[in-house]
Amino acid sequence: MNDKSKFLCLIILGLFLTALISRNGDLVWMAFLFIFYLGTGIGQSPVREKIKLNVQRIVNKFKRDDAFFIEVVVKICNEGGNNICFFLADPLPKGMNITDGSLNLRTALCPGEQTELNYVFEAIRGSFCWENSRMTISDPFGLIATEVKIDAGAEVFVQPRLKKFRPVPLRLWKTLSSPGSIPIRMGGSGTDFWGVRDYHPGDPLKLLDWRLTARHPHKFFTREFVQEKTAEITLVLDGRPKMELAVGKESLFEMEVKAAASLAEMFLRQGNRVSLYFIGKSLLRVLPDYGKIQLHRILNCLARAKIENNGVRGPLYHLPFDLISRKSMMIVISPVDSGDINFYRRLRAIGFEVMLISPDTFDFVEPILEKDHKTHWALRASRLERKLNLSLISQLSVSVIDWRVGEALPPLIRKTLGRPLKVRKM
Amino acid sequence: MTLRKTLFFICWGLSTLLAATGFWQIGFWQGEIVVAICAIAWLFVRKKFLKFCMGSSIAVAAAGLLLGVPSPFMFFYAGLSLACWDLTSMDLSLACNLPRQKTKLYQSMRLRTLGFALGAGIFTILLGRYLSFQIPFLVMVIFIFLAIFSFDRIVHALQHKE
Repeated sequence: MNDKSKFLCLIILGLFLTALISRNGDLVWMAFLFIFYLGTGIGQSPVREKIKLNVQRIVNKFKRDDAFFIEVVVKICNEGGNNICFFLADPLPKGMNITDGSLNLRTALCPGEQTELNYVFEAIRGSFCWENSRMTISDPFGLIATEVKIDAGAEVFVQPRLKKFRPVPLRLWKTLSSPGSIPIRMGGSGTDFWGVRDYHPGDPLKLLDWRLTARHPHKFFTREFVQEKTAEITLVLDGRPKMELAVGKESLFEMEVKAAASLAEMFLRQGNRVSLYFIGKSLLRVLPDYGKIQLHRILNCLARAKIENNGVRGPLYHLPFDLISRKSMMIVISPVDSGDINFYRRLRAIGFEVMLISPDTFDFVEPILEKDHKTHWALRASRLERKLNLSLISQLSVSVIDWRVGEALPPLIRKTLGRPLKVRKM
Repeated sequence: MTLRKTLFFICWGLSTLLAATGFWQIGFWQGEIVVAICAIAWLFVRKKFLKFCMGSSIAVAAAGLLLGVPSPFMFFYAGLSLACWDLTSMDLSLACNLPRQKTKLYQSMRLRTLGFALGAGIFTILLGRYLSFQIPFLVMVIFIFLAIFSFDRIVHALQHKE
């Protein structure tokens, strides 16, 4: 019984009591009106066993004006033998706003009839999951209501928007043995000329250096080209709550996600092997692989990545180093904290080649800070501290990119990755 | 204007007229003022304070019966106030729907059920009020047992449905 039926019972009881106290029979007759109303409602309420509803959820994702929208259509069909009055309420994912349609529907269906509830909301990035819908079935007056949970599950990912970067010519310490686009200092099959060697039986005739052969009778020479290999790149995205900053609608973490997505796309397009680790409250990972399918896996993983406020303290250490190949180059996207230096020290001790892309948090929040004397000095001190931390990290032979988020990232990466590193032995 | 709004205004107008006429008949002008206040409340604040409007109308009907207003006026006033309450409640419950969503069957089911409930109620009241006959004691005892049995079945049916 809900509030409405309780209210009616209260009226009936009140009339009976007043009739008893005043000894007026007409009040009892008046109570009959409400008794009949309540009785009709109870009589018309459906029996749970006779309710047969088929509920189907269809989720469509579409793009309009450079934004992603998700359309949800919930189709309800009455497969029972009686008319049914119901109220359907669909949950909306947190933080989303409806742009069209309604989340609620109150209607009645006769046997065999179908209706639908549809709505559209704008989705920025994320994983959207519906497990079930809440439906309240009642009599026409809404006096006796039965709540039913309908299985209508669906899941959709809205991948982060990425920007295509121009390919960066990589010069890494370690590569994989499969052919790719990264030149290594060895002769083999490639496109750039490496040198000349003596002819070995079995060398293809098209590779013979005829000019040199003509100058040295009875001797043959074969041209060699620079061997090109692929690399393995491990992207590590920092999802610690204390690193997250939001200024109006802009979020630092969203920029980091977009950067990770764009880097993954660029490296995969160059034919490299890429993996992703997201360190937040839980560890999300995509094992290394090549190609477009791998890009989709990475983008779906980034769609699920979110900052959760009750994250674990110092989760960077939760990175499973044993599962990451020592030949891979690790690119860590993280605003730096003073306690992180030991993490990079550990990475270098294990033998990883590391690059840190550190978004400048102070540059990000500066527009909203007060322009007074105290803030100016506090900002200056914080910037000095950050520079010191980055400097300490770069002394570990870690390539550091101090990224002002308003600037384009590709030129900074090209500048850092394009040149060979000086290795300082630990 | 939708059908439910039209019916609401008809019920509201008739109920106010009946209640005012009833109080006028006994010469109790204060009752007419209270009826007018209730009518204004129904018109302007029914969506926010629906239970208050309903409760005050029933209180006015009960007070009218106690003061000697002819009972048919108050019975019809209570019945039409119940109809106003139900129609406003239907309006509020359909507020979450978009204009394009189908609600015709729901409305027709509810209005039909309301008509049946009020019609049967008023008929029973008039029948019981104006037809008096002697019931033998044994028949009365059987009726009481029937009422207790029915009450038990209703409670059982309610538990089964929930």
